[in-house]
Amino acid sequence: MKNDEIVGLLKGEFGEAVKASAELSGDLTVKVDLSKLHEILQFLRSCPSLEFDYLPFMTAIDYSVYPKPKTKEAEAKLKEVKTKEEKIKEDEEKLTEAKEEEAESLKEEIQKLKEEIVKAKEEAEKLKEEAKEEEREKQFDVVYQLRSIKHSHDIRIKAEVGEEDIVESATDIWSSTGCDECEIYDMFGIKFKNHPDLRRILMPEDWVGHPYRKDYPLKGKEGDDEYLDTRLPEGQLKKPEHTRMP
Amino acid sequence: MGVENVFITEKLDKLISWGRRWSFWPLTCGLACCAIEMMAASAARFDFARFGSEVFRPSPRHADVFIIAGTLTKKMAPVVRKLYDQMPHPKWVVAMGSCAETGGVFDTYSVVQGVDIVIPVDVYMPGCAPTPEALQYAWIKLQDKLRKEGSLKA
Ligand code: SF4
Repeated sequence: MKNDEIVGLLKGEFGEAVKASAELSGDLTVKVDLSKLHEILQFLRSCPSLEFDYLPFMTAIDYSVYPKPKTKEAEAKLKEVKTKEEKIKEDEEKLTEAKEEEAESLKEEIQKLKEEIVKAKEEAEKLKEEAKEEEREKQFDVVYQLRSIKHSHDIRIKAEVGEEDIVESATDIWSSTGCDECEIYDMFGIKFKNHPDLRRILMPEDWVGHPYRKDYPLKGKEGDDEYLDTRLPEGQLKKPEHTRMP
Repeated sequence: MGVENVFITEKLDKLISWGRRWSFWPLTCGLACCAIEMMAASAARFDFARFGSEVFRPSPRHADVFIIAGTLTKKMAPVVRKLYDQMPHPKWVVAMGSCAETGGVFDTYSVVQGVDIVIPVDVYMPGCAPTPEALQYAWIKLQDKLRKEGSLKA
């Protein structure tokens, strides 16, 4: 099935819940609403013309420090406008003192700058409009990469998830999501309901914090040393700190 | 020991240490990629058997050398400590690779920055990963240690 056909089918079935779709070098990404996520996944699995029977991986993304390139570009454009306006002011001041010949060229320059400013402002407006897409309400995305071995097509499903949201587990559809969901729960702190055994899979069970979040310090937090301190026999610690703090 | 005569214990120590240093029994415990080199060292091409150390023991109660081969995470640290405590005396520890020595490239929240925080180390061995020859060099160093210091006190 072609990518646009898949999107058409999904939109026909779920309407508003399918928020956006994008294609990058043949890879289809569909953004869906969290409340309908489980139904959509179920549909993708069971619909005979789609039949996504294989889930290569599932993961999450933390967007809290996402660079937002378009917003930045718009800001840069506005800055350019400001410097140009200052230049015009300077030129006008010069104009009052200048002789005739110079005055001609200065006037021309001012005219040119004014035209440029109008153009730049228009572009900045446009960029701002586009930059609205980059604004997000929620911190995370959960990502499902699906593949149909029978029909040989792929799809990536994304849904925005906040810190308090609880995602419905997909273990009843693809049992391989069990470990992935444990990992997401461990590293991002996103909770899943109806999961048969949701617990930390990589970090120790009583670890504090979720390391894949962008605000988690790479070299560890202050309290981390306690983990070893409480588990090793006394008098065994050679260094004051287990982590090389900067 | 019941023997009080220093002369006898010294001589006895020499003899016992000679025996021990040609029959180290390492513990089978690989933590990360360095373990692959450890396996290579014990296989036919590099042949650890020349040092009398080809018997990798699966139980810590049979082993007397602990090769920490790889990255020691904080989750694993209490387990390694427990394994070390279960080994009977005399016992020695070889920290294999940069990770075991200092945490190596993993200067992160989850990795112990040097196994000497968790257990005492006899031979440190740099490299990422150290070659099997390097492990054998560390072995020779450990034998040197036994030759000089004896093994009754270890
Ligand atoms: S020192 Fe290098 S080879 Fe050895 S465990 Fe660390 S990263 Fe792997």
